[in-house]
Order: sequence, then C-alpha cells, then structure tokens
Amino acid sequence: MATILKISWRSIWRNWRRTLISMSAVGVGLFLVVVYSGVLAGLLGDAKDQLDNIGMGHVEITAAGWRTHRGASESIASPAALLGRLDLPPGSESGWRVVTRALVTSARGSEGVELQGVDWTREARLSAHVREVRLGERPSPDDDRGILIGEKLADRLRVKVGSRVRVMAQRADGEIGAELYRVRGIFHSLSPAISRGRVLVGEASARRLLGVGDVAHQIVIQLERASDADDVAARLRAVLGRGYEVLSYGDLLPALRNIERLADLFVWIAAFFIYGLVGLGILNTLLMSVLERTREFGVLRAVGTRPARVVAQVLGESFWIATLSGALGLAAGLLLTWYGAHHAILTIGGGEALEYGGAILRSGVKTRFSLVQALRATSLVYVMALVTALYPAWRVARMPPARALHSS
Amino acid sequence: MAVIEAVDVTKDYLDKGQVTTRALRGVSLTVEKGEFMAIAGPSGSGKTTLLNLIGALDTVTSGRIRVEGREIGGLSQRELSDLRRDRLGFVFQAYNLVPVLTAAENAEYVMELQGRPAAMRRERVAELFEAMGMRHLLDTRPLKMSGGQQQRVAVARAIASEPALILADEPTANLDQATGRALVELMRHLSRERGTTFVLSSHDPMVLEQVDRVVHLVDGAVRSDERRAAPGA
Amino acid sequence: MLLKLAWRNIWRNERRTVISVLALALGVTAIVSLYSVRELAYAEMIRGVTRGLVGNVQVHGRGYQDSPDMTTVVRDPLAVEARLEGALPGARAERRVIGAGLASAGDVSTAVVVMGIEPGAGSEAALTLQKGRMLVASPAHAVLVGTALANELGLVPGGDVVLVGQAADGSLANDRFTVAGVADTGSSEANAGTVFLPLADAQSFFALGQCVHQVVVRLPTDGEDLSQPVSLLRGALDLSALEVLPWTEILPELKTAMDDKRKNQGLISLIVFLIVALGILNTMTMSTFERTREFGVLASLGTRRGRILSMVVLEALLQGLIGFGAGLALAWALLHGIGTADLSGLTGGGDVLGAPMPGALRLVVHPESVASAGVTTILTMLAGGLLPAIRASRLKPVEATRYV
Repeated sequence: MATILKISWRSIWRNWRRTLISMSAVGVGLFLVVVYSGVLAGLLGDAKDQLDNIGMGHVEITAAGWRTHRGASESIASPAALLGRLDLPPGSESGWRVVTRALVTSARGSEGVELQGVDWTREARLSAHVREVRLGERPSPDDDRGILIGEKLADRLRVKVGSRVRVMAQRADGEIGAELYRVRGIFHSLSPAISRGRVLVGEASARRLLGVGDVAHQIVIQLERASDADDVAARLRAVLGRGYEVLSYGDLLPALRNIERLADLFVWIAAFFIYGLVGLGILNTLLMSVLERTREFGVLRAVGTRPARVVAQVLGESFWIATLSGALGLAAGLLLTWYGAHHAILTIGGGEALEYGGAILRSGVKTRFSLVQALRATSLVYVMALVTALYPAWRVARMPPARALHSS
Repeated sequence: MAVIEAVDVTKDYLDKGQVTTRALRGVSLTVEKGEFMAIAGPSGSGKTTLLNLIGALDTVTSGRIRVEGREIGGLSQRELSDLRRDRLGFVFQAYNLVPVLTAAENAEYVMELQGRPAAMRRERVAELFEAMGMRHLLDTRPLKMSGGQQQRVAVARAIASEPALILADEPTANLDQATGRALVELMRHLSRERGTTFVLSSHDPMVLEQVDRVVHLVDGAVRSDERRAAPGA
Repeated sequence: MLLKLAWRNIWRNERRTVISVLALALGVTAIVSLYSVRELAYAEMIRGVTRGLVGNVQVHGRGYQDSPDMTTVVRDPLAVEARLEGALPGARAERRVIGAGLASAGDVSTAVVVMGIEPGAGSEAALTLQKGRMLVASPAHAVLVGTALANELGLVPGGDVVLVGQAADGSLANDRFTVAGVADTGSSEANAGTVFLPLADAQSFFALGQCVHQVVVRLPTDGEDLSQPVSLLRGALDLSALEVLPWTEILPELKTAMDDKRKNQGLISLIVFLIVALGILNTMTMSTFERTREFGVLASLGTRRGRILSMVVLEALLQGLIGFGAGLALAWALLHGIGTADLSGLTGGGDVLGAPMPGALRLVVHPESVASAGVTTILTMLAGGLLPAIRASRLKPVEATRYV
C-alpha cells in the first residue's frame, strides 16, 4: 500500500505542467462548490434570523379559525395566564398581541394597516423594529395614546413624531370605532411591507379601541434554536387541543421552508454539474498519462503485478491529485467563505432586503460556513477523482501483458 | 522435471483487425533446469512470440505449455500474474525499469509483490548490487543511467525474486558490442552460480556464441536445435 | 485546406476529442437551459405585471409615485387620455382611483385598498371572475372583491359589504355596497386586500369629482425598454402637473432584482469557462506535443508560423463548434422534454417583489441564451487553445529529426 502511494505520488510529477493544470481544474471546482454552499447557507440562515426582524415567531398560537376568518369571537382568552401554563424550552422569548386590521388616517392621507396591541417590554424582545426605534421612542407602558408607526407609512401619511393620527377599526359589537393617537416613534424595518403596513399601540389601548376584555389574537414564541420549531409546535398542539391553532414558521412561511428543502438540492445539482465538468476535464489527462505508459505497465504486469494492483496505482495517482488540489481548493473556499461572512460578497435585488413569499432575504448576502458541507464537498471530489480514474485504470490493467509490451 | 514443456504450439494474430498472421506453427520445445539457451531467428520468425507464450504473457491459439509441470492454458489472469511473480523473471530489450523508482527500489519490486519484509529486501538487493559491482547505483534513477547499467539493474530485479526461469527478449539489441557481451556473461555467471534457467531470444551472433543451446526458428517453425555443451558445464 | 487539415487532425484521437467536446457540451447545456428558464420566467412575470394591474406606463399627478396621496390627482383625465391616444396610436388608456379603507361584513372587518376601475377596460380584463359577475357602471352600486378577501370576510355574490374611508376633503367616507362577484387578481397580495368599484362610484365615494389618481396606459407590446413611448408621452403632456412612468419605475425592486440575477448568470458562464478551458489547455498541449516532430517537418517545408498557429487554433474552434452544437441540441431536448414547468411552488404561491411567480411556463430555448453560450464557447476554446498553438508555431525545423 505504501509503495503504491509512493509510486503514484512520484508518477504525477513526471509531467508536472499537466499535473498542475489538472490540479487547478479540480481546485477551482471544489472552491466553487464550497463557496456556493456557503452562500446558500448564508441566505437560509439569514432568512431564519430575520424572523426577529419581522416580529414573527418560530411558533405562533392563535384561536382555531382566526387566521382565515378574523372574527372578533376568534380570540384567545387570558393570554398571559395561558402562556404561563405552557412549558417552553429555556432561552425562549414570548409575548402576545391584540391584532386587527384598521384604517389609519392623517390630515394628508389614509392607509390600511395591521394594528398590533402589545406589551412593549415583551415586544421589544421579539421584534427588532420595536427594540430599536429609529426616530422618537417607544411609548411607555402607561401611555394610552401613543402609537408606533413604520417609516414608509409615516411618509405616506406625511406625519412625523408628535403628529396626530386617527385609527378606525371594527369593534366587537360590530360598530366602527375610532380613536386618536399621537405618533411617539417611527421605526425602520427591513421588510417594506411592515414598514408600510404595521402600527403598534399598547395592549390596553388596543383593547379599548376594539371594546374587548382580557384577550389576545396571537401568542408569539421565538426559540433559541430554529430547528426546534416543529417539535415545540407539535408538543404545544397536543397540550392545547382543538380550540387552538399552533403553527411553526415553516407553516407560516412556506417559501422559507421551500428554500430550506431546495437549498440542499441546489448544492447537489451545482456539485454534480461542476464536478462533472471537472471530471471530464481530467479524464483526458489521466487517459493520456496512463496510455503513454502502457509499455511500462506491461513490464510491471510481466514481472508479476496483479491487474488489481495496477488499477490501484492509477487510482493512487488520481488520489494524490485530488488531495493536493482538494486541499488548495478547500483552503481558498474557506478563506472566501470566512471573508464573506463579514463582508457581503453577493447582492441579490436592489435596496436593502428582498421580500420572498413573506420571508425577508437581505440583499447583501453573507456566507455561512458549515464544516459538514465543506467536508461533504471534499469527499465528493475524491469520489469524482476515483471514478474518473477507473476507466483509464481498467483499460491499461486488463490488457494482456504481451500487447502492452509491444505498444509504442 | 523439465522447467518448460511446449507441445505443438500454434499462435495466430489478428493483424490490425483485418488479416490473420500465423506467427508460430506447431512448435514443440523442452527446457531443462539450469539450461542457458537462446531462441534465434530473423525478425518475424516468431521468437518473441514464443518467448511471450512461455512467459505466460500471452495465450496459445492451439497446443499446450507446461511450466514446472503445471499447465498454464486454463489459468486465470490472476493466477498467471502470480506465476510470473513467483516462478519467472523478465529482462526486456529496453524500458525495463520504472522511471520514478531508484535502481534499488526497482530491484526490490518483485520481492515486494511477494510480500517479503523490507529489511530482507534491502539486504538482498545490496548484496546483489555489490556482487555485480553496481553499489554506487543503488539510489540512482534510471534516467541517469546508461543503457548497459539499466539492463544490469533489470537482471538484478529478475534474479532477486529467485525465479526458476528468466526470459530475456533481445537484451543486447540496444547496447554496443562490449557492453552487450558483458551483460550476457553476467547472465551466464548467474545461471551457473544459482542454477537458474535462462532463455534468451536474439539474432545477435555474439549472444549465440555464449549460450549452450540454440533453437533456430524460421517462419514460425523450429528449423534446428543445437547443443554446444551439456547443461551445468 | 487549413479547415480540412484541422478537422482531420482533431479526429486522430477520437476518444480525446469526444471527451473534450462532451465537457463543453455539458457546459453549454447548463448555460442555455438556465438562461432560457430565467428569461422565460421573467417575461411571464413582466406580462403578469403589465397585463395585470400595473400596465406598461402610468400617468399620475406629479409626485404621486414617491408619496401617494388622496389629493395628488390627475385633474383632467379625459383630456389626458385623448392626448395619449393621439401621441401613441395603438395605445389604450384607462382611468383609476385608489384609496384606503376598511371593509366589513357582519362582525369581521379588514383593511383594504379601494380601487375604482372602468368597467370593461384593461384592469377589469386582468381579473379572472370566479363567482358572480363583472362590474357594470352605476347605479348598480356593486363591487368585485379578491378571492382571499371574500374568504376572510365571508362574502358571496349578492351579499353586502360596508366600506369606510377618508375622502379627499378629509371627511369620512362611508357606504354600503353589494358584492357583484369574486375575482382572482393574479397576485396573492391583491387577492387578499382589494375591493374593485366602478370608477364613478369610487370618485363619488372619495369626493374626487372627475379627478383620478392613475391613468394606466396599455401598449400592444411588452418589454423592458419603454424609453421611446415614455418620451413620446412626456412630450405630449404637461409635466409641471403630471408625471409619466414606465412599469420599471413603478416596480423598481423587480427591475433591479432581475438585472442583478442576470449578472449572477454571468457567474455560471465563468465557471464553465474556467473549468472547460483548463481541460482544453491540457488536451491541446498533449495533442501538439505528440506532433512536435510533425510540426518540425512542416516548418522545414517552409510553412509560416502564422499558418501553423491558425491551424491549431482552428482545431480548438472546431471542437468548440461541435460541443456548442451538441450542447444546444441537448438543451433543446431537455427543455422540450420537460415541456412545461411550474415555478409557483418556489414561493409557496406568494409573490416575489410585487409580481406573481409564473405558474405553468412553457419551456423553449431563448435566442439570447444561444448567443451567450456561443460567446462563452469561443472565449473558452481560444483560452485553452492559444497557448499550445503559439508553442507549436514556434517549433523550429530541427525538431523534425531531433525529437525522441
């Protein structure tokens, strides 16, 4: 075994230019696959992180039927108590919201929005746009008239911090209710839809607007690990029973779930394509290099080398090429991925972020490094190298020694 | 028991896929242990073909060949490989050695195939090279050696694995007269010393002078079979 | 003569040529397929947008695009329409009113966009009626609602819906309407949040008189380059009071996203270029190396360097031609084999950047993709073949006998 590796190592340097060119091809291939998987992982990871940016939960609980038919009766009674009864994993953030569609009007215009009545402290932990209000400030807990609106909405309505707006919504008794609020703060969100269409008020104030008691429409839970979402949702579903609907972010954002499923597929397809190209590229080289030495291999067979050992020697040469160029390609790929994790190397779409079926993808894509992916890509290089070498190896090993000896 | 028994051997070739050439017609040959002999004839006479068949490098079209009493006709590729490894040695006209291995590594090669331990291989090769006056070539690569030196290393490799029979196909064809003569002398010396059977193929009169027995082939058939001295003398 | 020589030379080693050509073909197939699918999807998305609610070009009151406002209006829309149709024969214009409101039915309410459209015009034609019937002009007082909206509020044709909003003069707008029908707008966002009124009803609901917010212009052809029609229209209208915008400025994120994606396509061509060029470099180097003696002979016979160079480069280009053709055929077979692709699964049915993800897409080879693959092929083969060609052309006659 050691001799085979020794001979094959020395053999690849006989035509060092040819070997270097082959190595470049393989190295470039691996580099590309590693970077590509890093980019996809970054996109995906980013999208999952963005849940915090749009105030979405990894798990959300609503009264059964509320999502499709937002009637006043489909609400969750005593949300704080309910939340207290649930057994959530450590590190989770949670909160509840009173939610309704409403019309916000100013002197200069009106817009349809989603109004959320929240507990400010909890909401700040769930939503980045509430946590870091860009202009002005978050209303204090006892501020009954304060409202937080998005940048784009403020633009549309031509209001600023301190302006007055009127909010109209349908009350529980069927009448249209209207209240006056003062803009305390204006937030920025990566999601243009939220910036344009969401306003927040204190929960007491929302309840008064709608004429309801101690109810909420959404319970939002953000977990430490996104991957736990489906399990937690299943567990809560079992505990809460039929009056409630428990959904994980995968259900709420099917686009995101699709990206997750497809991302792996895309990397496989890219790897297949890239390595296919590379494999064909070095196939010729290997063939040439082996067939040039037909006579030499003939001599080895003559003195008693078994065909399998000849095959092993040729595979060994491919192994060394894969190892050297693999190491280089991997190193280069990891370097770019590491750099790309701090500086966005790719942009998708103009503007700050891209809305994709409800999920937010930041335009400046930062890569994410995954050891598993990198190792998988590297092992595929070996597979490709060895598969490519099989044909040349087989061709020269199965030749009767007499014929091999007489080739020129 | 004879080392080689060839009985009524015929070999046909498909020349460039179109025309069949009969290279050997009904050749029979017996080689005893310890013989130092040559197969002679002009080019195209079939001597290389016969050597290839005896050396289990190719298969007969008809007829039988026995190596040390064993029929080689029905053996598998792998069994033939092992036969060549353990019982036969080869010296070719040129390009015998692996260019990326040193002379010592080349000479050790077959022993390594046989699974002999590294220390033993190294020792045996060192002894051989010493005896052949080539100690300074141990760590040299083939590209840095003359033709004659390369051939001697090939002989060392053949001898080192202790085969019953060594086949040499036109071993002196690429060498000048003096070097060629020295090479054949070396082979004869080794044959006498160790009792190894040697079968050379050549059309060089200088070579034919030094062997004990010459089998002449013309157009694929045995024309004559002359002994000069008794084996072992 | 040179061509014949080059052609025969590449077939001296069949297997080598076949493998090289195969690699290139694989690359060409990938380039053509991806390019075509992408452009086809884009064309569909653009169609969805321009034949849907956005149209090709829109005319608004000045400043409306940047800050849409109930009071930023087109004051004399019929005159504007007349001038439009004069400047651009073949174009059709329609008027629209847009405002925000609250729609409620029973105890359920939601925020909606209230859109006043001309019955029978382009915007209505963009809607696919699912239940009930289309709009008619007043005094029917009937509206169309989007499918998801109908679900949410439990609306059926014949039912009632109450609309509340803020009129142009700041007063409360409040009226009850009958549901004429339920329609699919083609956009999931619009389906969930739009109520369509006959134009006159909307104008009176929002107290706009004869004013409108948008004059939507529909042209007979689609496309991304609207500079000509736009400049014609701008010439015909009073730009101190009005603005004229092509759809690319109304949905800028869509346009920039498309352009960005196109840049990323260049990446694929780059990959093919890099890897295949390296492979060609190897094989051409080997092939010319094997023929060193031969080139020496040609040189000693008096062949000029340029001719030898051309011959070797030609060998590379011929292989490129074959690979290109094979790749193209493969891509054609692939696209036609798949037939129609449904991409809507990619977004789970949602929109991307304001345009609906195309559903059934008929796959064909896009002509631009062929050009792109062709350019890549030529560059690749030149990159791989030039160096060996130069080396071959520099061989001296003495090589004819020296080389061993």
